Amino acid sequence: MLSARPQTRDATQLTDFYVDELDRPALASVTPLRITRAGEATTTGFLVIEIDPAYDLYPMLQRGSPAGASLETFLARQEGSAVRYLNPLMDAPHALALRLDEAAPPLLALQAPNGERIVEGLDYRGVAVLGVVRHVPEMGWILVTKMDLDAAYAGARAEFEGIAWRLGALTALVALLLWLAIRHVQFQGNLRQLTTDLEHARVENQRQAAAAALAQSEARFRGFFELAMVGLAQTSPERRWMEVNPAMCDILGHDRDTLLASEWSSLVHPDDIETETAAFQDILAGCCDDYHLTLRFNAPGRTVWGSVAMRALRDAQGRVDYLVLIVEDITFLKAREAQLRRALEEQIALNGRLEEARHQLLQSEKMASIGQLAAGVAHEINNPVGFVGSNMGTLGQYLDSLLAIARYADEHFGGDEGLRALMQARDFAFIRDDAPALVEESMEGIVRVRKIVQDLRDFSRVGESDWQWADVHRGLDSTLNIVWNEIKYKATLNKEYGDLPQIYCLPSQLNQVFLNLLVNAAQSITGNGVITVRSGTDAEGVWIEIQDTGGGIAPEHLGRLFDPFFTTKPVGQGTGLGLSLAFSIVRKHGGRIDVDSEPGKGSRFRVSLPTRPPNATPRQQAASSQCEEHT
Amino acid sequence: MSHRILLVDDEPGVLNALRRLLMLTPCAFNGQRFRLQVDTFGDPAAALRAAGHTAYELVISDYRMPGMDGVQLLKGVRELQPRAVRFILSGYADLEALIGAINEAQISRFIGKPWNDYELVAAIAQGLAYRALQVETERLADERRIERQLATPEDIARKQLEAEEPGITRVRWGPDGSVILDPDLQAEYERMNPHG
Repeated sequence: MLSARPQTRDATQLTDFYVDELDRPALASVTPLRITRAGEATTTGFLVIEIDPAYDLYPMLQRGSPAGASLETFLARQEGSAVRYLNPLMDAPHALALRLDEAAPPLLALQAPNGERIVEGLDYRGVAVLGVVRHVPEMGWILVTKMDLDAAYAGARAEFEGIAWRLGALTALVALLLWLAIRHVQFQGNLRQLTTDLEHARVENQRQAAAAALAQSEARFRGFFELAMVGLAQTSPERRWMEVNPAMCDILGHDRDTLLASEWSSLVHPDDIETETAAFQDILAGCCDDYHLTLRFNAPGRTVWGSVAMRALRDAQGRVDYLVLIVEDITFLKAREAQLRRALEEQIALNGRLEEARHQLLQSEKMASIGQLAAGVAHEINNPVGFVGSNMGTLGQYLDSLLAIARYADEHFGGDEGLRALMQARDFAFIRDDAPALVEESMEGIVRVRKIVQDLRDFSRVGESDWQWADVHRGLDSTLNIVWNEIKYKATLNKEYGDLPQIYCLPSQLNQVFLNLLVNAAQSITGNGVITVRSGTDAEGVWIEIQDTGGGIAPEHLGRLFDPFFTTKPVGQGTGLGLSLAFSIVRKHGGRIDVDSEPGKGSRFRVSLPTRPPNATPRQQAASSQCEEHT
Repeated sequence: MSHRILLVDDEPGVLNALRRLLMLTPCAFNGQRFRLQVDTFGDPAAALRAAGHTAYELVISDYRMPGMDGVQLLKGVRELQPRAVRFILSGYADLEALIGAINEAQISRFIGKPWNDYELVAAIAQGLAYRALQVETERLADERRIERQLATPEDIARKQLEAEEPGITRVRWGPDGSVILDPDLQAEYERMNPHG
């Protein structure tokens, strides 16, 4: 279709390419036909000549192009965002119909709108090409001749490559050397850096491991600390709690905060504070680091026995930094120990009493044997004493008779020489005077023997084993008679008897008391002395005193005088039971023994007895009599 | 009339002393004087045999003797001669002996050794006087019994005879049918003629 554009000129103009009826690109040349009249030109018509580019243009385009597969010349025009090609392309036969979007590879030639330029770029195929671009004036078309870049540079490249290779090799060598030099320097630096880094890494590792170990250790120790059954604590040198574990809180009966606010010595039992302070002073003075103590603590409501171990941890100067304490609650152990000790003491006391009882039994057994022996001996002695005594009486009468006869003979037959001689030879006068005295003295002797035997029986009192009303003086006298042998060569005896009522007693046991006191008195006298036996009454009953002028008793012995087995006599001479026995007998009578002694001057034992013992019940009488039977 | 008394003690010294004493010392009570005839035995069994045929007004025995103690002896004597006064003279005096002496032998005195001569003699005199009184009382009672016909004169006569001569109312038959008058003589006879 032909577009008629207003023509202001008279010159022939070419139209733009268009597509003819055969769907081919065409071009028309329009020349106005004018008539000039009176100076004014008038257009009468146009001469249009259609030009077929395929004949006129395309051969021209292809002419002059060097042979080559990649060489191609075409006309193209930009239309909006697309490019329109006029002539058929090598790869696109339908010219003019071809419009390529900008999305297609750009045609670099289009970038040079004016003049003729050689450009490099990508063609519509996307192949790198080298081209010559010329702008067709007034038509907006550009003429492009291009060839593939590979083809264009093929020859030059071959030569260039040789040079480039050598150059490249050289450059590479230089670069290598340079690189090596740089590298060496860098390597040194790196090495140093690496070493440092490694060292840092190692230190860091170690630090981390140590920190981990520390954390683990701390966790472990925290576990020990908190789970321990014993009290653990840390204290300052001023004895303030720094840290305590739960067991310590339990033991001391205070919670942690209370403890940490207090001084630990404030909890120590007052009786132990001295020990504890001494230990602390020792530690602070540096005498030692470790201390083991047993201390009592004042827990609320109870006293806790603690086995305490403490250790001082010192700083570099040796000053105590802090102390660690371990406290074990041994209260129950102590309680058990106390129980055991009590049991032991009871056992010992019991054993002592048993031993005492055994010895008393032994003693009474001995006394019983002596009593039986005395009774038997008394019986045997009583027979001869009986008939000797009787015979002595008879003898006295016989003697009277004989002397009467003799007197008669002397009176009536005195002149008899034989009689006189016999009387002189036999010393009749002396016999006559002496014989009655002899008989008299013998009688006296027999009376004394009788008395001794009687006393022996009284003393042993076989068969008299019950509580009874008895005369103390009688018992005292018979006892004196028994021990007279012990006394008479050492001491004179003073009797200062008062007026005594009868008392309700076990006479033979009281005799035993008197015997022991008298024997002791006699034994205490070394040279010659005096034994005084006194008696009297007071508000409580009767008293009997036995005083000697012997050696006396040392003050330190006074307290133990009545202890069983306490004796100052040489081994074998005293059992140490005499006074103990006396004491128990007197106690049985509800009385007491008082001792008054001065070393070097003598002793005074005073036995006080109630007239009737408050505890002499019938039942006890029975018990006593059983005991008595053996004494 | 003498009063026959029996002394038994295993100790010859005691027997001799007592014999001397009783022969020498006048035995009197309330003005009544007793002449004593003293038999002594060292063996209680022999003494008991003697008491079987000899009447004693008073028996004094020791307590402890071999073979037989004083209580057993006096118990036997009491069965034979209930009117004989019984004493024990002993140096040994336990409760058991005393109880036996009083309950079984029914003694009238327990005299301890060594004895007092005068007390002993006085006790004997007293015992004899008491016995005489008792015999007298009994005789009077027997007379009353006869009067009241509670007893026959024969009974009384037998009793008196038995008192004067113990065993006289009983006949001792020998193994050969003979009558034994004196057991001691019989024993002696048998000893001398063991097979006859």
